[in-house]
Amino acid sequence: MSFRFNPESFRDNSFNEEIRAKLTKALNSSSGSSTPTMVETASSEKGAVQGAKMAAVSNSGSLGAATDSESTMRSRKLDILKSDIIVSKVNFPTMPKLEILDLDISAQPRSLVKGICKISCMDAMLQIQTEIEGNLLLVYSEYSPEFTTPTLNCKGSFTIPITMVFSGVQLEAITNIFVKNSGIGISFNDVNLDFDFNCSIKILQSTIEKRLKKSMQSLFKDVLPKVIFNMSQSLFTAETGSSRPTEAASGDEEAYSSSTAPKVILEETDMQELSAANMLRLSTLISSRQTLSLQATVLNVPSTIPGCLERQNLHRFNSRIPSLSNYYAAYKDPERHAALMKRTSSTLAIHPPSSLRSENLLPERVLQENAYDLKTIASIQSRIFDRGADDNVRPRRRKLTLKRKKKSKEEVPTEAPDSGISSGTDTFVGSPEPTTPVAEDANQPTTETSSIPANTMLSLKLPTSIRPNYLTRLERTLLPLETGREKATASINPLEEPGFSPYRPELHRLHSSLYSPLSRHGSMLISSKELSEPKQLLDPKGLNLLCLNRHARKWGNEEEPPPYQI
Amino acid sequence: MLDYMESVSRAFEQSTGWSRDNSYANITATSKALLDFKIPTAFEFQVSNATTPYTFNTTRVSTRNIFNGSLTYLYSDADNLKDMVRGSGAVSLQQVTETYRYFQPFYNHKSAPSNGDRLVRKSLYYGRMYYPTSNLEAMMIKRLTPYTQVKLKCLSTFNEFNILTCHWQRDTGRNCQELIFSTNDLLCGYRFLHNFLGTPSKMKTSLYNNSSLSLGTELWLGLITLSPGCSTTLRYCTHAPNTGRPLTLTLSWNPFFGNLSSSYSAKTSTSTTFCAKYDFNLYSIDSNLSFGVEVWRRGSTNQQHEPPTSQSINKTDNLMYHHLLPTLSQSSSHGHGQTKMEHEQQLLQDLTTAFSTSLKRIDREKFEIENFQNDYSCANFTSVWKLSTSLRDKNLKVLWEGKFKGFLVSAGGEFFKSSPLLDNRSRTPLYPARFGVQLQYST
Repeated sequence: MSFRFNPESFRDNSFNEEIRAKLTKALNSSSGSSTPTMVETASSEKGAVQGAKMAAVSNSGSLGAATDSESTMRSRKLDILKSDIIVSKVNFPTMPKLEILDLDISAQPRSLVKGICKISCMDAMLQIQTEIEGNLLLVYSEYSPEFTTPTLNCKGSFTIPITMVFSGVQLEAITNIFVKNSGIGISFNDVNLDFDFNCSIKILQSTIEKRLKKSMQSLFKDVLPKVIFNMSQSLFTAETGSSRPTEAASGDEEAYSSSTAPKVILEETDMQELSAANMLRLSTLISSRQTLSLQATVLNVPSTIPGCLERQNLHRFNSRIPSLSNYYAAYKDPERHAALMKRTSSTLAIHPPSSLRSENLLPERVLQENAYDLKTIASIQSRIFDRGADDNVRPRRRKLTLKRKKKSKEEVPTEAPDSGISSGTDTFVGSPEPTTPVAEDANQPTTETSSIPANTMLSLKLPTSIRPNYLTRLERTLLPLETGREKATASINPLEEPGFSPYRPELHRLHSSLYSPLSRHGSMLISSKELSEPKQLLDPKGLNLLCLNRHARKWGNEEEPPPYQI
Repeated sequence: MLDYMESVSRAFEQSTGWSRDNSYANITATSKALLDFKIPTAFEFQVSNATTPYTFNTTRVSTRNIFNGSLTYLYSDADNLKDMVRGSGAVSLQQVTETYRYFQPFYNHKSAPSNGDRLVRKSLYYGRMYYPTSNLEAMMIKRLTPYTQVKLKCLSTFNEFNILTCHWQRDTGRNCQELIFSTNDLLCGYRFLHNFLGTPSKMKTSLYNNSSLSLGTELWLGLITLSPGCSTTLRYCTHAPNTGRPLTLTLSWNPFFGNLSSSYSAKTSTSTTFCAKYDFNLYSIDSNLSFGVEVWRRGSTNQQHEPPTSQSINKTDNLMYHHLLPTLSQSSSHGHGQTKMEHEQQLLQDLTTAFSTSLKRIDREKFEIENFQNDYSCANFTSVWKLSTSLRDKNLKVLWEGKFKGFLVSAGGEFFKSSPLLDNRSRTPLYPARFGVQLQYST
């Protein structure tokens, strides 16, 4: 998956023209049944935000489809509009800024991409013209029941042209973005909006301004997320129908459109990269890798196999597995480790598994500081052997007789075990701390996406009702196996191994970290039926953002997610 | 086309001697009837009857998008209401059609309530229930004194939308005042109408006054939205002196919004009416010109009303001024030949001839007017076409109303020059905006 931020679309004036045309169309389609002040302002601000939004995900569509929902939302009120609403001027002089604070493309099967973005838009200007009816009694008599309305003779109509200018619109918002199969969900958390309002009728200016400020809250809470979701939903669903015939010509089109006119927003060819079919494929791919998601209803997927560990958690699992390097993890060299991590983050795409595997090596500092305990080392080694080796393979043990008394003692050489000697000098691999340089700019998408698999920390969201049942069932089924073939069981399910006492608390912690979302965020889980409904996307229950880097890990595993203002 | 219940309530007003036209609400009723007539918007069928002399009911069924209807009951204790309200087969079309309003100067219409308090304190109760919306309409009209009347109108719906509107009206003939209060938007209103030139002259024969000049004003204030309204209107009704055909001029002025509107309505013959209205806004320099025409068609059966001729006028003229002439003719026939007498006679004769021309003229005018009115009210009209158009709105309204086999049929439509939705499809010059048919049957 990739996305593009096309700054060229904001360079010339075509973006402003596009916005103007779309806003005019949208406002007039909804002007039939709503008050002018509310709609105008709501839509105008929407326009501003929409502009930023388009930049943000570079994924946008017709505003007209968006505002249709708004007109249905509003109840039928007095219509004092006498003409169409004309958006006469739109100006976005500076490019809207987008800062991706956080991105997660593989966390959940239910949402393809989750991210936190900071959107800022400066010095935008918008001018709206319309005509309103000045004789309120005429409006009154038209919208009142005829039977009880007294006959009014003063029914002369008097139209007043009105111009509203929103200048210096400054918007800063922190948004949570969820890309799902059905659409895009956005919630605005921290909105900071400022504008100068100027109305051609000075008497009404303060009143309109007050009402504007009142409506801002609902705009960012309800209107805008709904509008964006509906818009994206229409795009996504329309794409599935139309993608097939245009697929053949898409290559030519892409070349054509990229070479000629600068695209303002996503064109047809762009949308094919975001097509629902591709999204679906990606999501199945992701979900197939997530083998610890205990979907009890689905059979024959890796997640239903007991004891099967997810690939993404492998490094964590490895970090807890008994080995010398893990046991002496405190002695690891911090700066070398950081350098290593930096290297891995850039070159991870080439050989991620090798860099992740934790070698059974003693850290150098342990030897230097003489901090090792031979008994512990011996137990670790024998445990590794018991766990991993076949019966017919004899352990290769180097026997050193230091003193006569300790003849029977098994000893691990201080340099390295046999298996580790040949494989290299790298003694610091496999640390459990995934630290990633956070990509602060959207211009570095490649580094960020490539660094993600290294740092994936999956937290599972499981149905709370399933979890205890599943765990008890798991232990029950494992028990006879353990009695029968201890070693095999241990290799399958190291977490359940009872006899490994020094790592018992570690395993518990692993357990708790793997399953922590269950107990903590159990209330946030939603059933798939709810998910299929579009409005549930904006429901607070549905919002759970678990991300990869350190911000998100804090959310997903230790803390509650920040309160979404929905 | 008036509804049955509307004609019953008008009959109630007529029975209790309440002048409908002497109110500011209806000061422009003529131009409204000719220009802004209502067009049925659905297929509608009404069956009405008078179950007792005091109760009336109507069942109405209409279909537009959905099937709906209403039930109406009316009770009134007014006298001889049964005789005034006639069934759809017997009623004359000009009584159930909103058309040109003949406005009588006020000294004519106050004769009915002056004959005692017997007519006073009559009341009318009206209730209407709609289905399937279950809205409820109720109205009560109560005459309190010979000059005052209270009207309550109430609308009740299920969705927290209840309106009560009270009218208090006082009509002394010369002045008419009205106080209105509505709970919808807390609308308060005051209307006032004053009649000039209404005083009957001292000598009835000296001048036949057939014109009236009225000035009215209204003030409105919606207390919740603080929306004010105010207008003032001047109305002048008269008859053309040589043909006796009535004409009405109104001039309205809305000082708040600068609307100036003048209308001219005339019955050019018994079967045609014409109305022109010009609106102008002083503030926005917005103008509009509207025309309306009515064409009535007579039935073939009622042709006994011949148009009056000048011959008959001369005849009646001689008859009517007979009382002035006898002494002169007798004295002349006796003819003693005295010069003094001859001189007196000559003087008298000069005097009478000098007056008789004006008297004759006045009487002929009066006769013309009355004859025209009689001709109109007695005519057996079978149908009427109504057309109105407006230059600014670019629309054409067509309405046909008539009697068909005992039914009162009203069918019409409104057409716009081009559709607001399909601008590019300009092949059809007129675009129908709405149309409907209404059928009424009453016994």
